[in-house]
Amino acid sequence: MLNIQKQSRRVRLCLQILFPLVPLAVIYFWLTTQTQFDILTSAGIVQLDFDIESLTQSPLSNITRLLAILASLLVSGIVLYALSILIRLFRNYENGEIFSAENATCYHRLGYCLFYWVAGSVIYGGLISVILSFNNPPGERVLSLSFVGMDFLTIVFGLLVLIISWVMKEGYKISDENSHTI
Amino acid sequence: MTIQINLDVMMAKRKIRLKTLAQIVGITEQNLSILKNGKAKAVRFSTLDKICEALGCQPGDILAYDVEPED
Repeated sequence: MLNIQKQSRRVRLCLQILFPLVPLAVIYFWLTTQTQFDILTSAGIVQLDFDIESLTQSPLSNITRLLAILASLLVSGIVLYALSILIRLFRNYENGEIFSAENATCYHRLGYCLFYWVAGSVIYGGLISVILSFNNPPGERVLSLSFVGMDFLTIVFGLLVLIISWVMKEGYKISDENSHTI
Repeated sequence: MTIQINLDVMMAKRKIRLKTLAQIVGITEQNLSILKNGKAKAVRFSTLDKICEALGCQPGDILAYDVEPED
């Protein structure tokens, strides 16, 4: 139990540090991409599914960057939501609450987060392709929607997490019964 | 619930306090209170054994089956 609490505290701290970094990294990336200050791409921290250069023929304008930030922040919202759930989950573990109703709900929401992520990434792919190619001449603007194998795997993973949430609910019932056994 | 807990009645008859009984039985006051108030979902035989020993009674004196369940 003590080991779970100790490790959960570490994980929670890491997640709490990561929480503000995600939107900051998104904003920093879109403000600096295609410039000499783009450390995230050159260091390999950010790897995009799409090629910016292939979508846009002209250098990114400020409006394009702003719209790309907004679109990316929308999809990052799903990540932030998942992170907030994970923080709550690991805080509960830290407090010694392993099989609680709240934890089961956390797992349930995490499972749904993965579905939201797949839907969000499909919409994001289309949105970002339009934003990046909007400055192209008419006829060369692109709307690209993609559903790759990784998205399918994410859905499968989401289903697995949902099943785990049901298992956790059963665990909570057993734990509750055990705590009311005198 | 159709099973009634008459622990409080037996405790009053034996003039024993919750704290004292909890100490004799070896469970926390909180858990004994859960049992006394009928909030418990199950009772271990070992706990029942110790309560009966401490109060000098039979399990039937503590547990009773109520024919008409409460609404």
